[in-house]
Amino acid sequence: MPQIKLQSSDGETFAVDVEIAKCSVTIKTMLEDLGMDEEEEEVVPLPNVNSAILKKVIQWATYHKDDPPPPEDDENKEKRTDDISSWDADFLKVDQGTLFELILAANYLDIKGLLDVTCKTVANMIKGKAPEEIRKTFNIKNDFTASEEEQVRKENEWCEEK
Amino acid sequence: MSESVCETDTISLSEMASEILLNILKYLSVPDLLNMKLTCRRFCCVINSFWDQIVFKHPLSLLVTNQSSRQMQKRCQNILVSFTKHRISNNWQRGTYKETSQFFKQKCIPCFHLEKDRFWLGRGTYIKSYARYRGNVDFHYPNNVIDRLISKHLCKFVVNDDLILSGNGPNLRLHSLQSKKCIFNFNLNDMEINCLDLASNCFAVGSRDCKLQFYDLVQKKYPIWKFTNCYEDRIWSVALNHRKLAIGTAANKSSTSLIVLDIERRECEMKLGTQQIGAGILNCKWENPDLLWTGGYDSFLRKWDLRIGECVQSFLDPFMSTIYSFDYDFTNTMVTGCDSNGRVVLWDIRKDKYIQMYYMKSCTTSSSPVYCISFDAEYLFAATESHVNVLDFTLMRGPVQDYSEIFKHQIII
Repeated sequence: MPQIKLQSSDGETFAVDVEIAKCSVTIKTMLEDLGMDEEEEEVVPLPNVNSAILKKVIQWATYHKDDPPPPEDDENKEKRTDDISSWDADFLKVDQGTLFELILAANYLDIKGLLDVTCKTVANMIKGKAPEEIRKTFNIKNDFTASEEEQVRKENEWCEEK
Repeated sequence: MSESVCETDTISLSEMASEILLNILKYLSVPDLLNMKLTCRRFCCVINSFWDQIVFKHPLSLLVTNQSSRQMQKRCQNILVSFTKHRISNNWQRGTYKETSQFFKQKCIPCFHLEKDRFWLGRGTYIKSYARYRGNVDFHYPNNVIDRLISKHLCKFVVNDDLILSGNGPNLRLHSLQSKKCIFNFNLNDMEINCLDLASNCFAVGSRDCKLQFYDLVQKKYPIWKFTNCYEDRIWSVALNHRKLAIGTAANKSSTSLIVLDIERRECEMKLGTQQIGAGILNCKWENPDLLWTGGYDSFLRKWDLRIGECVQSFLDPFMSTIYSFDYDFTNTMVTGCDSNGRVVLWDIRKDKYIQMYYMKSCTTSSSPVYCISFDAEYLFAATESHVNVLDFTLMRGPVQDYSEIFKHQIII
């Protein structure tokens, strides 16, 4: 199977099957637009992804290489977050920094499946929590003044009484 | 390797770009989003601005608070973020508002014009402009008095950027705001002015005694076009666009209540109406050069498509009373002012049934028609014979005056 080399921001290169690399729409377009010849040993630079994250992305893409293409977003359907596969759940048992890096990488490389599952994981960390708990979870600093916070609380009220 | 660990440590959720945050927020329920808004300024801001996209998954066209048309933007003092739009639109539909009203001793048929920063009011013998303060109007200090009319009471006036056209009795005046001068002052001896309209380069005047005159501001020949005794009926309303002039008549003698003239060719293009004697049209407004809205004695608000020469949409007043005034947000919202009890009806033109009704408190002792009506995203303005009523829909919380299901328990005979 033809391979290409992906180079991370810190200079490490990874040899990857072209078919696996193409789950990234960004890489796929790059190969098609630039007419990169699959026979040659091309190196694709990825300046926005470091080696630790790229390794994880390749691991994810390799496991999911035979997946059917993810369905288009159905605007009318409610978005579920309880449908994460056990392999993905295990794969995403990482520290928050890595999780956010994976989101940024999935967004940059345009890998919808990975972006969906990482964002669902973060959403699950928010769901059902009170504001103070959310702040604690993500280390968010409360930068509201007392009166601003009161204002937002008031604005929220109309929604709650429904 | 140690470098990359250091890098990952610095990323935090609140620093992520908005479009990436949207990918996460779209999975949250409304209560979760409200909690998220309370964590910090950044999330509050992002969720407020993308509320429609997150909650409705697509930009929804909201009732009243859309602010998408140019005409509506010219009236709105505040441009609202989408979360607030949703909240205020809900207030309009549920009947949550606070009413204030300004009382005027002298009873008359008032006329007003709403702008972003000014509120023009014509009553009896004057036209005054008042500053808008936080959306509402400060009636204590008029900052511009245009006209002191002597004898006859003012019937109508129109404001078009720099120009104000007003008519009282046989007197027709055109004022320039910039030069603060009266540019034209005509005495149309043989006419009693009933209605008028002003476009960028022309104006038209209709009279109680069935006459119509048309003036061209460029050619400076007055009047360039005159119809005397052409119509059998009183002319109640006129509306101009750059190609056409719509005329609403009393329809007492003929069953034609709506006439459309082609301005360039100076001839009648179309005669419309409901073929019903007495179905006079008190108001007409153009949506665009082919679509015209009318309201009047037949109790219907109607939309006419002039390309096919037919009424394409009609909305019957819930009490089947005369529609004295109406206004449009040029998207999907209509409000109509009715003939008694200071009643106003809110319509979503995508739906058959009315959405809500508002009764002006000032009309509980004396029943008056709503002679003039207008609104922006946050306020409704309605003028009755002795009051200007302002309904404030920006409340966070307030009493609900819900008349939307008033006919639910009606016995059908």
